[in-house]
Amino acid sequence: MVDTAIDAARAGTDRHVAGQSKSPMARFGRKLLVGLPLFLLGAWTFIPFIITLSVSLKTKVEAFSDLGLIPRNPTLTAYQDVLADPNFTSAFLNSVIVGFGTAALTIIMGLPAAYAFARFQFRGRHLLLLFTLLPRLVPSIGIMVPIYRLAVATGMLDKRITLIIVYTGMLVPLAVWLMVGFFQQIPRDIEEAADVDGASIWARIRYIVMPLAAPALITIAVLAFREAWNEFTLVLVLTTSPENRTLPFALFKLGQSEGISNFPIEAAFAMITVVPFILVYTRIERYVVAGLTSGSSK
Amino acid sequence: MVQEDTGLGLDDRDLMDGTPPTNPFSVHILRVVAALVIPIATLLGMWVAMNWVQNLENRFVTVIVAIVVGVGGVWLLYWAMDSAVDQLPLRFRESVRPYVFVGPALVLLILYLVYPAFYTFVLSFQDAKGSGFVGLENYAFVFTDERMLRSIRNSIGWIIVVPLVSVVVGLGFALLADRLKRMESAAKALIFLPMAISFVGASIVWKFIYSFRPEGFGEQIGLLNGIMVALGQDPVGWLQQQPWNNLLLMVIMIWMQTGFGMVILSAAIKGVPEDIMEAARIDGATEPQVFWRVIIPSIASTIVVVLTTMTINVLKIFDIVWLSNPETNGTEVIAERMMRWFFRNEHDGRGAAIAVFLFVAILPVMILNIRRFRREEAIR
Repeated sequence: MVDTAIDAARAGTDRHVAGQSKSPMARFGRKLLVGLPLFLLGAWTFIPFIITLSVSLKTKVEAFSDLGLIPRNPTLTAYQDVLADPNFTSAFLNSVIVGFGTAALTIIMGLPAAYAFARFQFRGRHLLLLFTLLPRLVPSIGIMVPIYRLAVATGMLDKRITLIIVYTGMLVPLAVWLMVGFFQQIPRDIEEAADVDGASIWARIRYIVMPLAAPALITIAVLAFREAWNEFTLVLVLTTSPENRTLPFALFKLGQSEGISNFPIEAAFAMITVVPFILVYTRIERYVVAGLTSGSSK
Repeated sequence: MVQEDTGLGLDDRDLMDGTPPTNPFSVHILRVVAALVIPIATLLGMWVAMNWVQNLENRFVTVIVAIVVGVGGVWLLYWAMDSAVDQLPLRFRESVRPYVFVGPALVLLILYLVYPAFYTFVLSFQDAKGSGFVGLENYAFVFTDERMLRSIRNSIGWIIVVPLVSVVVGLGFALLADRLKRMESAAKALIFLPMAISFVGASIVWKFIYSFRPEGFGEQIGLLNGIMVALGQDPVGWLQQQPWNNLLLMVIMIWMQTGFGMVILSAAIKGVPEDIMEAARIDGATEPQVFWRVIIPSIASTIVVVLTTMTINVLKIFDIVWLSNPETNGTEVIAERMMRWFFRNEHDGRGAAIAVFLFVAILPVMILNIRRFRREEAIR
C-alpha cells in the first residue's frame, strides 16, 4: 500500500515535470539537475573509502612516493601483516565479544521495560519513561570520570564486562524508545486472545511481541553492536591492558606508536574494521531503516 | 503521520483502571522492593558469576560461559521476579508488575546517569585530586583560561555548522534520491556507509586526504596536496591553518552524519500525504513553494529530532579532534578539554567543571525535547 502511494507520488511529479518542459533538451537539463548533485554527493561519500582501499593495496614505498589511485603493484601484504598481528586478533576478538554482549544485554534489559511502558498503565509511568529517555540527551563524555572511579572502586576496571555494561547503559534509552513505539503498534487484541487461551506474559512476549517487533529488535542489535565496535573514548578510559581493548584502540595505537607511520597497514586495518560491519549491515539494512524511521517520524 | 491507535489508548484505561485507585501503603513498599532489590540482586549475582568466569583458563570457554551466564541470568531473574509477583494477592499484582519490568533498566540508568551527574557536580568544586573544596575556582578557570575559551568558541562553531550542514545535505540528498527511479536504494546505501566507520577509522581515512609533509620530507601523499601540486601550487598544511582547520575537522563529522540524517528525513518526506502536495499544486504553487510551505512544515518535528541527535553527537566529539593535535593547531573543543584535564593533566576539579558546563550548555536542547516528548505523550 505504501509502495503504491509512493508510485502514485512519483507519477504525479513526473506528470508535473512533463507538463512544464516538453523539449528533450529541457528534460535532459532536469535530469542533469538531479543527477549531478547526487553524483557529487556520492563521490564525496565514497572517495575517502576508495583512497583508503587504494593505499591499503600499495607497498609502503609506493604509498609514500606515488599518489596514483591505482597501485602499480597491488599487494595484499598490508592485510597479511595486519591479520598476523597478535594485537589485531586479540582486539578483533574483544570487539566481537563486546559487540555481541552489548547487543544481547541491551535487548534483554530494554525489552521488558519497553513492554511495560507500552502495555501497562502505572503510577509514574510518564515520569519514568521521560527519565529513561533522558540519557539520550546527555553527551556520554560528561560522565566519564565518575564511571571510571566507580570501576576502580568496584574492581571492574580493565574488564570487557565493564565495557559491555556501560555500553548497555548508553544504548538502553534508544532501545526503549524504539521498542515502545513498535510495541504500541502491535494490536492488543492478538495478545488478549492469547491471554484467554492461557498464554503467560512471557509466552506472549516470546511468541507474539518479539516476532512482530523483529525490525526494531534487529535495529537495536545492529546499533548496539556498532556502538561497541566503534567506540573509542570509553575503551581508552576503562581498560588498561592491551588484552582487553577493542579495535578502535588498536587502530589508534597503530597511528601513534611508530615514528613514521606505515600508511598501507593503517589503511588495511581501517578497511578490515569497516568491512565486517558493512557486510552485516547491507544484509539487514531495510530492517534498520524501518526500525529507525518508525520511531522518529511520529 | 496520523495516529491510528487512538482507540487503543482508550482501551488502556478501561482495562487497567480496575485496580490502581485504592493503594494501601504496603503496595508502595512492595513496589520499591520490586523496583530496587531484585535488580540489584541480579547485578550482584552476575558480578559473582563473572568474577568466577574470569578465573577460567580457556578464553573461548570463558566467553561462552560469560554470555550464557549474563543473558540467561538476567532473563532468569526477570522470570523469577514475575513469578514472585504472581504470588501476591490479586489486587496488588498488576500494580507491582510494571515496576519489575522497568526496574533493571532504571537501575542501570541511575548507575549510568544520576550518580555520575551528581558526582561530577560535587567534584567540580574540588581541587586537582578531589581532596579539598576550592569553591568556584574551577569555574573561574573555565571562563578565563585561553584554551578553554577557544574550545568554547570552537564548540559553538561545531554546533552551528555540523548539524545544519548535515541536515541540509541530507535533506537535499533525500529529495533528489526520491526522484531516482531505480537507483534510489543503492544511492542511499552508499551515503549510509560512513556510519559504519569509527571516529578513529574516519580520522585515518581522512588523513589520506589532508596529509601534508613539509618541504624536504618527501612527496605530498595527501589527496588535497596532490591536487595542489598538480595545479602548480605550493602544498598546504591543511590541519595547521587556523581557524579553517576547524572546518576541515567538521567536514569529517558531516561526512559521517549525513547518511543518518538522510535516511530519517527521507522516510519523513515519504510520509507527507501526496494529496496535500497535489492540492497545493492545483492551487498554482510552484515546486519550491510546495517544498517550503508543505513539505518542510510537515516534517518539521523530524528535522528537530535529527538536529537534536546531531547536536548531542557533536558535543561529545572528542576522537577526531584528539587525533589532530588540538593544542598546537588551535582546534580544541569542550569535550576534548575535559578529557585532557581529567586524564592527561590530572586535574579532576577542572575536568568536572568543564563537564558541568557541558551539561548546562545542553539544557536548552533538553528542555525543548522534554516539551516535545510531553506533547507527543499527550497525543498518545
